[in-house]
Amino acid sequence: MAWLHTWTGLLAGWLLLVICITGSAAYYRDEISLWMQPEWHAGVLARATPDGQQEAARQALAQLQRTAPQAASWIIDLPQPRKPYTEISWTSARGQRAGPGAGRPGGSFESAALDGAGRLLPAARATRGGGFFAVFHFTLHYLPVLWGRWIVSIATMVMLVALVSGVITHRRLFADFFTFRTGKGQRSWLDAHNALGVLALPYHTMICYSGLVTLMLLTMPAAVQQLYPDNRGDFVRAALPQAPALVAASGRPAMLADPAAVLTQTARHWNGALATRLTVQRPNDAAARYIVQRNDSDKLSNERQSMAFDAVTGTLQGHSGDTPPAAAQTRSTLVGLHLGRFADPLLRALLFGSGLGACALMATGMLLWTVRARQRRRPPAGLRLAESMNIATIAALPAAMAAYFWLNRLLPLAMARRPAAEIDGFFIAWGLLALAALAWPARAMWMAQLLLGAALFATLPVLNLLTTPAPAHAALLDIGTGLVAATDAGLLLCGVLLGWAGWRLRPGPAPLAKAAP
Amino acid sequence: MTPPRIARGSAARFAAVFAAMSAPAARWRWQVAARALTAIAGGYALTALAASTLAVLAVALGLPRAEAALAAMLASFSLYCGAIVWSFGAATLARLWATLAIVTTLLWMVRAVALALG
Repeated sequence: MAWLHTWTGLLAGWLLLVICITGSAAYYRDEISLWMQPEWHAGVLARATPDGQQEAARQALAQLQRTAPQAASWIIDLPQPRKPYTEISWTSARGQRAGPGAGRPGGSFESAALDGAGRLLPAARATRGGGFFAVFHFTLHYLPVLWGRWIVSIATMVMLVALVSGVITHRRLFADFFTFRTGKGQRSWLDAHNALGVLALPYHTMICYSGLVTLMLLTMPAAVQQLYPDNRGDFVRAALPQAPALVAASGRPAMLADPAAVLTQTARHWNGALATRLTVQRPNDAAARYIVQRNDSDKLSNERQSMAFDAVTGTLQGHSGDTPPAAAQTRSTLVGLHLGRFADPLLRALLFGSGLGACALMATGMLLWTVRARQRRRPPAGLRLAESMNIATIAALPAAMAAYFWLNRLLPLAMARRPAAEIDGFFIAWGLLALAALAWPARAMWMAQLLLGAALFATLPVLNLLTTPAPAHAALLDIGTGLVAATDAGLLLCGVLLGWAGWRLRPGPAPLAKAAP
Repeated sequence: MTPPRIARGSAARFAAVFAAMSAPAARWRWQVAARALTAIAGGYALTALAASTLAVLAVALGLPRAEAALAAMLASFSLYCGAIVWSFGAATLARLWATLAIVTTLLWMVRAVALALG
């Protein structure tokens, strides 16, 4: 089994490391997205409380009445603990196009954002924000949509096999909890690899299995093909709750009921849980309908729970998703665990730390292989390539991620295809660093790239300060001073960690065996 | 304290599998390729069959169709993982393939019976 562990780990290791680093960053996708839209930092914080959400709903309806009274439907994404603003969007299928100050057009949808005071926030720069890391970690970006998912699923399956065979290889599983010998080169890497693997084994298994489950309809369709041979759409509709279809308009105008009363009802029904989204179908029509979707930040499962109301009288029409059957609940709990939306700041930090632990598990595994290979009398042919790949993933990728943040602030605002340019810039930076690593996979290259990443990360708070529109620094209770400052601190911490790793590699009389990769 | 070696033969079984490793390297490579192919392709085919059997069985036992399909899909990754690890752990290739054939036949039969009942 040791043999199986080494080879599966080596074959999928670098890809898994990339998936794991970007996936860990995705735990903070909302925070990163907010950081990357500095135009909104000046807004007044919208409170994610029952009262705050009711107020936000009223403000959003008033804004939508002004902007798009004729739209077929309105979507109001209410303030969340990690999203201190209200996002409104509407279909422009019927009635006018975007109103004054409205955001960018997205297909037949228009959207805009409101702050806690109900003011329209200025149109933010176009960016994919933290969502890019989240999507990249299972699509690999440039590949055709299904290829990326298949490749990532296969790599994840390999990780599951590596975990299981790693446990079987281990006779000293329990002893490894307490074994760590520092400064002993290869032995330290092995101890670190074992400790990281054993201590966080539940996390590794969970993230691996739940990741596979998110894509299981694609990769393991046999059961569906067996039971729904003609129409897998039937299965999707039966197994995964869908958004209610748009009601038909009656053509008779009517006034909308107060959304606050509706939100009070949903909070009571869901034991005080917040709402995520308020949808208004056929606004200002007698057939109008409110649909409230439950926030999943207070439960593990990401099962879609929603309630529908007559939007003119405010009476309840029905609710769905309250008592999902066992297998559906299991699936949505696994998916919910993978996404980690339930996590409060402390738990989120722990999840992020566990994600970094998984990255370190893979990194130490890869380093262990190169250290051992280098000690052989005839080093294997792939050693140089393996060392380059180690640098390209462990040191170059974080630096390229920092470059993505930099590009967000440095690219011209009016640029065409700006979100794509940020992403292309990320890959160009990563590619250049990887080429440098390929050309010269030496200790100095490790140090240079780690320190470059450290410098790029650690200076991001300064960049934020310099490139954020001035009003954001004026108010005390604004978005910019709360959540964004915390994100700044997190970015600084990333810089410090990379800097520490790079500093240990400095040439000199320091005990080299400690850090030599 | 003696340093642990990563390649330590804790899987004594595994060492026995490759007792033939002292034989020419070509034979060893062929063994590995055969096992890898069996593990990846054979394991996937076996998992697909097992998942559809589980689903049919669950429906026959009264579970709603969507639930049965979901439950079988959720279980399939652990089945696949087990199949892969076991492919590399089986004592000989002949025994691996024989077991695979027997399990496949059994699953076919169970599924046929469950389909007839359901």
